[in-house]
Amino acid sequence: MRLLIVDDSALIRFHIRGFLGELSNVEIAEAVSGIEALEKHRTFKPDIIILDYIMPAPDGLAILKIVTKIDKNVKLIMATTLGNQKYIYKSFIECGAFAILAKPIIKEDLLHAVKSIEHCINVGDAI
Amino acid sequence: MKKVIIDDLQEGMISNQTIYNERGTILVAQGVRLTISIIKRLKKINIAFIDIQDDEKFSSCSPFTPTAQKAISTVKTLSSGLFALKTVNVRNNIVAIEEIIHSVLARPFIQEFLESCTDDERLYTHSLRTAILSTNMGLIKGYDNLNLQYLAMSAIVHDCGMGNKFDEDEEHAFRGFMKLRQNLDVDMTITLVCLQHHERYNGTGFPFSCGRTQISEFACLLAVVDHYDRLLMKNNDPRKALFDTIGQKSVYFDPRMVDLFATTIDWPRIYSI
Repeated sequence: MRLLIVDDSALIRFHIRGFLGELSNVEIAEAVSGIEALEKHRTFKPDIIILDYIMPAPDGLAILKIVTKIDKNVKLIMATTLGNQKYIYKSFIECGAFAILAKPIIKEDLLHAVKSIEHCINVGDAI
Repeated sequence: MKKVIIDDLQEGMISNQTIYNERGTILVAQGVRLTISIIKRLKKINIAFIDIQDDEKFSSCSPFTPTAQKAISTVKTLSSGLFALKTVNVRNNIVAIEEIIHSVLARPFIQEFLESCTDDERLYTHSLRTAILSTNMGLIKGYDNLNLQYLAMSAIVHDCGMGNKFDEDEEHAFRGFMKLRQNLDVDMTITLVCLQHHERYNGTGFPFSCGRTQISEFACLLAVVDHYDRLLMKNNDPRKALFDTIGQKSVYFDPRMVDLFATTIDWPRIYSI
């Protein structure tokens, strides 16, 4: 499984990579900006993208809109610090996010989300 | 292609990837030969490793093909035309603008696009005039040479989704994005400008109704000059086109880009006879 971490903070990318360390058969790539996320989506072809919302333009919501339009297979997990702003959650889901994680990201939540996507992919493959 | 750890990088190696900072600004372009200062810069921003080309894949073709020659002379003619309109001043930067545009004419995808639209004068001149205007703004904004080249390339191919004829069809932005995206030699910065140049600051644009923080900086910049040039193409009075464009500040366009555009206006000559 290929997983792309998109966040403009090196520290957060480092933490997420650490959280995912216990998963086997996972290849991880990182992107520091929305533009690089699109570039890595094109070349690395991830199955999962963990995408920060607040980044210098284009932000995570723009990337979510673009990627879900051009790639029906990839699953996106949005990460945001905007905990109580319901309209943001609504936007993410309407635009096709698979899951939303509040920052700071809790390891168990992230692993649950990734494992449930892995399950979806395996079920899809089986069908 | 091979991955090389940052400490093992050597002067003269050729990068096989574009490296961005967290603001999306290009630090090293794909195909660029590394210098000591570039390697130092990469170390400073804690890049662990980069993809290096095994051989010189990006041997540039001659910029003096007939297509490039025609583009060079068209750029000169269009610059003179802009001067005659007495609205936007590109004269002060014209040498630098021409150098930037000339330097990107060697790229195969640029030549391919220009060749495809030579039969449609409107699309051809619109592409090159927006390149002149946006490069002028980029120079004033203080972009480095690399980012100016990417801005100029973005401007030239931004309407490639139209095919070979100028068309107002709203699908062209997405079509162009998908077309450029298939070509791995076209950087995503350029591809994204093609996708987003009709997005609007207030979220009323197309194809994704993106607004404010969702639109890339180059796309915000190009949106302003694209709008201005489209008004000129519709035979609007140049002054009316100008005021219409700056009147969309914070509505259609990023206010910072409208302010930047306003600095290029040749105010003393606007009302001169």
